[in-house]
Amino acid sequence: MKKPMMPAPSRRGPPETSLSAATRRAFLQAAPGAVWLAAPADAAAPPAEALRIREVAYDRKGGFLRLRTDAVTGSGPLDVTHEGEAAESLGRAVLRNADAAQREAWWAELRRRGAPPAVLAALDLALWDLLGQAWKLPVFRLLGGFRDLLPACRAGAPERNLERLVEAVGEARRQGYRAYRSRARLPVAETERMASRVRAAAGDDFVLIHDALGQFDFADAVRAGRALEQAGYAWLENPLADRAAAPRRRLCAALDLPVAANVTLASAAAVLAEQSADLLVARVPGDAGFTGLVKMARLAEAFGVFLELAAAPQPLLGVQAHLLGAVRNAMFFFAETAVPLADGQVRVPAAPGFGRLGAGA
Amino acid sequence: MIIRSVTFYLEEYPPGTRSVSSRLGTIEKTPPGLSNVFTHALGFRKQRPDEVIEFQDTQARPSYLLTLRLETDGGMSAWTGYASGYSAAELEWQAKGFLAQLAPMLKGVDVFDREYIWQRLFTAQRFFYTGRMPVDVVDNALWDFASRYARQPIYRLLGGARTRVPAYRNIGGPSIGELVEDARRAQAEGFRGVKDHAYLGARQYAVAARELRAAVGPRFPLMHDAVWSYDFNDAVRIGRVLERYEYSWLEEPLMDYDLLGSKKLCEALDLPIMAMEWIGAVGGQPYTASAYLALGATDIVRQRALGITGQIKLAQLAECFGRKVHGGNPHVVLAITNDDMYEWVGPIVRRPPESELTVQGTPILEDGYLTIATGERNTPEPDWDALARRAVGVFA
Repeated sequence: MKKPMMPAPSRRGPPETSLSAATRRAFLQAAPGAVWLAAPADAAAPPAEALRIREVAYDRKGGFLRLRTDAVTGSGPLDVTHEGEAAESLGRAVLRNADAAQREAWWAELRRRGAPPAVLAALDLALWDLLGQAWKLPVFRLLGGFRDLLPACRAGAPERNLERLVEAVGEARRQGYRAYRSRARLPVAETERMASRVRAAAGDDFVLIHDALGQFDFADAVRAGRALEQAGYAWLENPLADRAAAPRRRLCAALDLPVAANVTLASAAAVLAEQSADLLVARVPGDAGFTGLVKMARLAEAFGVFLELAAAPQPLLGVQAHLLGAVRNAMFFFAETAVPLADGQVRVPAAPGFGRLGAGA
Repeated sequence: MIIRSVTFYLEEYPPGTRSVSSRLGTIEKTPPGLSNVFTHALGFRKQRPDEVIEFQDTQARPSYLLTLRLETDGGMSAWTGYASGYSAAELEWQAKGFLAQLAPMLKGVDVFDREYIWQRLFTAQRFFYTGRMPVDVVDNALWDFASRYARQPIYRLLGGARTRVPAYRNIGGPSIGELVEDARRAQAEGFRGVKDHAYLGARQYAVAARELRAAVGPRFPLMHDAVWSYDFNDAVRIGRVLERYEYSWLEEPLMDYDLLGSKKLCEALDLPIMAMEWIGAVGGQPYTASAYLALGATDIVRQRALGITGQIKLAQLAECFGRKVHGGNPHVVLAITNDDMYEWVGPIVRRPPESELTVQGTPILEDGYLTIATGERNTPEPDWDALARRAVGVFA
């Protein structure tokens, strides 16, 4: 039975469905007689003026750069204390009275002004933290969440002694970690021994990664790589003494074992374009803040390449978790210090902003 | 907030009349005839009256709108117009296809886990042969949800790099005189650039470019969209002409498929080349764009990525290569720094009265710029019960 139609604006054909604004308009036109429900409870959410930054201050004691609006405070860890003053003055010049929601503009402006990486990162992190709090969203879900549990990998301290290394791997396993990244400057024959020994101790279902601390020449890197392949290692970091791209590219081609390269936002595109790495590793906060890490992750994703984050210093562990929570192309949460684990996984903080790792929901 | 249910509402929509015509032209061999390239006739001649084929409904037919609703446990729903058409039965089965194949991937997922949903639906494109539409539509609806939740227009959630971007108009005409006239008209309307799709061959186009530049004056952006009309040598010749008249870019001179030809052309010309509109449309961006950028096979990437999530990925990928993108969702365009101009297609939308504005915003043309006008009022949700009563079908 056809329902009576309300008169509606004339139109020529079916509405567009690709733009949400257009479809919303089409929807409104389609049902002009509809009774609208009240807007959802959102009284607490701020209007744009509430996102105006009133104050930029460096908190020396806590090691945080803080951005304050009338309602919330965003914090960006800055452990390089001597840059605190620079961050404060640059932050004031660029961000005081600024609209926090235009963070992409401020990121570009800070870079244009040549902000040192630590300063850029602190201000950029504080902006993200502030917006997450203002909008009541954890940062990874402000970006668009991919997961809230991250398989954890213990990033071991440099260890040349094979017995102690085996012990450390075993302990990580007992603690629930799903992977161990060893780091040692070992000659190739010892690397071969390490590979089989550690694998035997760790068992077949445990992920192993090795960082060779850049000590091999090309031939040794291939030999070491073959041994790690044999032992089922997941990838190899810093194999070559020569940090140039060309030999690393050759090594990537020679080995089945993925070879990782350390990258920054400035270098990542070239590394991917010339295929001189199978896997990228970036530092947190890196050379261009959280925004830079996000861009680097998207860049790598488009090449089908993973971007892993090296274990962050303590105040940045939450930041590390949020980036990993928003991307598909990263495998592990690397932890140099003990982090709270649930079934071998780190939970991305669910509190608005970056929150704190292990602080609960 | 977890997505608990997926529901489609099929309702009657105002009756419409359909028409189809050959007036736009056809695909013909380019007139100088040496390159054996085919192009659309739009740029160089009108259909003769005896060629025109047209069909037109004599009376309005009932049409239907399918609305998709993702209801969360937080008292809010994401929703979007999903499809519309003249057959209720076809739409019903489209809804059922979605419910059987895609809805299970949405239920139980946090409504803010857009990346997870995007990745899953992106892969479903391939497995279920869905095409790009479900990814686009669902992702945009999830961003709209976030916008209503945070009471911010999407472009601000994305970083809000800019509040406005200069807009340009597409111009056309079967003769150089009419082309120039159209350019003047767009300029008078306040547009800050014009782009033509005229195929005239290298020699004739040089005349058009000279006339256009003379008509619009210096520094007014001019663009030429060739829609695959040239072979490589023609493209170089045309490119040099455009350089002389200070064009902003040359769009799709070669087929997108000609990756190495495009690379060679980018290297040969000073003028920026834009590619990927067609390959992007298929639904592979941002992943298809990495090879173009790594090879240097385009200077500007035509933005056709899936959903707002995909478009931001593509823009950031291009940015990492120091490249621009062009096009896409107005919210994405304002959110990023690497897209110079907005192509305003369709009727001009001016600033509506304050009472019609929402927090989500409406893309408008103001002073020749694209901007997004926002208000204080959040877009309310439909009365779902009333919609269910009004609907000719509800599918869940």
